[in-house]
Amino acid sequence: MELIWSAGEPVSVRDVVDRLDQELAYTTVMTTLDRLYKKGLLARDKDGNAFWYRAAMTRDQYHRRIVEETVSGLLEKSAGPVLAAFVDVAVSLDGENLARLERALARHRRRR
Amino acid sequence: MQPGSLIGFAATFLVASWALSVLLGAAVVLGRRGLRAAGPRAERRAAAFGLVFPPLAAGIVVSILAGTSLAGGPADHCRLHLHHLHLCVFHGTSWAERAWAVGIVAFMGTLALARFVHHATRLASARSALRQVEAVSTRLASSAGEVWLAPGSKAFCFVAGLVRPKIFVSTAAWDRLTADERDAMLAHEAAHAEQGDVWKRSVLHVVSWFAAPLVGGVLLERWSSATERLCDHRAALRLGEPEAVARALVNVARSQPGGEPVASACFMPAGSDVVERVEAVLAGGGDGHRLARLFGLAALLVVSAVAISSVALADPIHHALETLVGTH
Repeated sequence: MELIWSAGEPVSVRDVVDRLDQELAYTTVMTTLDRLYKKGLLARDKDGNAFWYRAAMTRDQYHRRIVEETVSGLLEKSAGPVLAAFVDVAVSLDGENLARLERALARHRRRR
Repeated sequence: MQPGSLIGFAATFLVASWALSVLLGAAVVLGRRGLRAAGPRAERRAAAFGLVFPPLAAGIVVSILAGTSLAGGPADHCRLHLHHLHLCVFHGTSWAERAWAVGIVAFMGTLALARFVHHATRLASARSALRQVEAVSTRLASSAGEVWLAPGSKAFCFVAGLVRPKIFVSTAAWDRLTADERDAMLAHEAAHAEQGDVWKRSVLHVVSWFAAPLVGGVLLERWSSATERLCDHRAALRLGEPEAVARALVNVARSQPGGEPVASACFMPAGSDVVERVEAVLAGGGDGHRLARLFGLAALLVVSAVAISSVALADPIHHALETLVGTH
């Protein structure tokens, strides 16, 4: 993904193979790009027999996606023994509870 | 030594641990108001004792019985046991003929193994997930410890890591809070890190497997709830500003996706937990450290008394447990 972002323009499988620091087989790179495309991380256009790949999201969007996918799993799968969250993500304050809290905060401010 | 006789010791351990956990669980639930009034530290210690003591005491007693039996036993070794099964590593094979004893040991053994594998897998996957989050996060300079700001549209803040706890906060939560609310949130998480809550929670989770069904979950929930209130209390003390903690709680809770209130593991709507926490931190009061210290001392004395009496009264305890658990 870093390589595709830094290219700034659509790249072919050959371009990626040439720009990689390590030597990888053409078919390995082709399979990897195809997988990233199927995961929705890359977009591609066909030109003749070749595919031209470009990033389907910005670096920031990609980072957000990583965080949301990994953290959602951590927080939602009864994560009790693994971490301690400030507020449970499953929490849902209804109107009545919110009003009760606002009243409590207002009372506290008046007392000060 | 007869392997079948170990079923008797395992079944006795489970029955004793369950019975003690029911007694202590009931005491913690019935004494909830008093403990709540005393403060979160006292409530947390009471819940921890309720979780740890039953398997510990049952383990001590059963180990000493097995040890004395293995060593030839004091007076009770291999008398005629006509009205109940005999707890003896050499002559206790009749336990293996009791379907209930074999069933309970096999079921709980399999369940404990499955839970252990699941727990270990979850810890390993959490570790790898946190590494991924850390790789795309920015480290913040903070007096609260190691704090990472993670990009994300969901508001969250948590502390994770068994050995070296780290605080992760999302940009969504960060941007939503004022400077004093951010400090309050980080102070709360720093309190978790200082107390070693992540590893303690993990250990208590494992220990709760040996409590009677439902009791372990209830006590874990009491421990977690008291721990959250204790960390709120510590954050308020550290900042000298309980209202900032309350506002941070309300703002983060308000930004959650919403929908129907979801019941937590122990039958309490998660939303009401936030209400309790906000009301508790605004009410102020002590954290119950004196009572907590007293509980700690009492726990030490009780465990010592159990260990000493298991040796000194090995024969009557042996006979009582055989009669209670192994009556034909």
